Amino acid sequence: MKILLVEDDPDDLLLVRRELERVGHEVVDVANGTLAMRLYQESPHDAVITDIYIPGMDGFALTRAVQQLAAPRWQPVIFLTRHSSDDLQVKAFECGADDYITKPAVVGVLEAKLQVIEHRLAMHRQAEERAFELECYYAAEEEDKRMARQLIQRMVGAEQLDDPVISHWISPAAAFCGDLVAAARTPSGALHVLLADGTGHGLAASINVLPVASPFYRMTAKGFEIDAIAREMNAQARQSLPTERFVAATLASIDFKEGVVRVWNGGNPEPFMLDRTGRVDRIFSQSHVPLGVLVDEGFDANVESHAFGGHSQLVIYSDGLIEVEDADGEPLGYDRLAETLVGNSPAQRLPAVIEVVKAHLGCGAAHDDISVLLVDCDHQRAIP
Amino acid sequence: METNLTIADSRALIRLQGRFDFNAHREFRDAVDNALRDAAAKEIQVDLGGVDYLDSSALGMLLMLRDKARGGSKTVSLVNCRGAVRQVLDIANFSKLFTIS
Repeated sequence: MKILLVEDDPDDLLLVRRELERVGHEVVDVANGTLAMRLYQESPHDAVITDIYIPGMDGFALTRAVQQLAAPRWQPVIFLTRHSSDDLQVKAFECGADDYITKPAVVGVLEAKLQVIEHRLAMHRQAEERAFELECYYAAEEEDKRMARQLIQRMVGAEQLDDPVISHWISPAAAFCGDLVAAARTPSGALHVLLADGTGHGLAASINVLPVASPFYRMTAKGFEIDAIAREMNAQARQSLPTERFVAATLASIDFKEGVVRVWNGGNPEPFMLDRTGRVDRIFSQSHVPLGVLVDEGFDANVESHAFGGHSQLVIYSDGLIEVEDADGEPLGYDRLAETLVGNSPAQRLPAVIEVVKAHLGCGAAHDDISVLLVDCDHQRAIP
Repeated sequence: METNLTIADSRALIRLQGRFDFNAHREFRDAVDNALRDAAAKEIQVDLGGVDYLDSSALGMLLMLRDKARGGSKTVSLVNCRGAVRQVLDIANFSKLFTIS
């Protein structure tokens, strides 16, 4: 170890120095406390051994100053002195000493104590290194997450969700959301909406849903029907996802001029339609295999159509919504969802659902991403 | 989740018990690999009768089994699917992919 030895008695100094060097320590000696402090500031020492009464700063002041400079790092300091009073010992420890040895020291005692310190120092340094590594890892991880979130957000392109006929709620179970909600208008003014739910949740699920977003926007902008879009989304998901991953998705097109809604649902709970009185008017019960599972020949792009009157509302949601569990593990369930929707006016339905879900969860946390999408379907509504 | 594999004649039966979710990944994969390794077992049955919960990761694992089984020219069927388990399989329309009973 590199040791700073502060001692003003030349005989003692020589003795201790020789002893320390004999066992392989590197010793820097100084006879003045203030000078010792200056030396310590210039270069760090593994351990400081000091007498109490020395010219300049005394041993107590020196210890305090050294510890202040070293903090939060551990700096071992040993007092080596002729004075053996308990008061002085207590004061030394209060100032930050690790040990107190009275002179003349028994040969081997100082050496043994330094060995203990050396061992502890090695452990401290290892812990410090690990903490530093962990910190770096954490910072890099956070940076990656931030980048990923930004990238995903850009690819998902949620900006068209502010269409006035849409209200939606999406609540991720983790930092990343495996559910995706999207909306876009066709050139003729029909509205296309998509609610997708990737296997699992978190970053992997969030990445899993990405392949379906781009065909949705691209093909809607070109005026394709949702059956063709569903087929392309399936092909994209099938191509990019590993076997055990898939995307449950609901696609719907709302033609306000004709007053017709068309739905393709693969793997999400059954979407439904509420009429002007809030009654469940139609359940879209045709269910397909989720996206990314079937090869194109086996894919079923059949859609269900429904003619709606004024003031209808289409409800699409992910399984996370009705599987939200309360403290006893009881899921929210479809009935409670339908009840909440039916009992409220169209504009109040989404806030009511959010409230019911939160109340059902209590202080618990959801295990899955939750998303719900409501579309006001009004036959006469003009295109915004 | 607990898994139990029995192979008799040309049939491998994987019996599952408990929560079938992402945490069951390893147990399920081990059981599947053992069942697939047996060249005589041409039919793989997964008994979901003892499963009280099944999530989308579990569906993914079943798809993985289906894929591997097809590679080895074996058939897969899901048996004893009831209640919540049946519901999840129905929502994902897995009857188009597996023989379900």
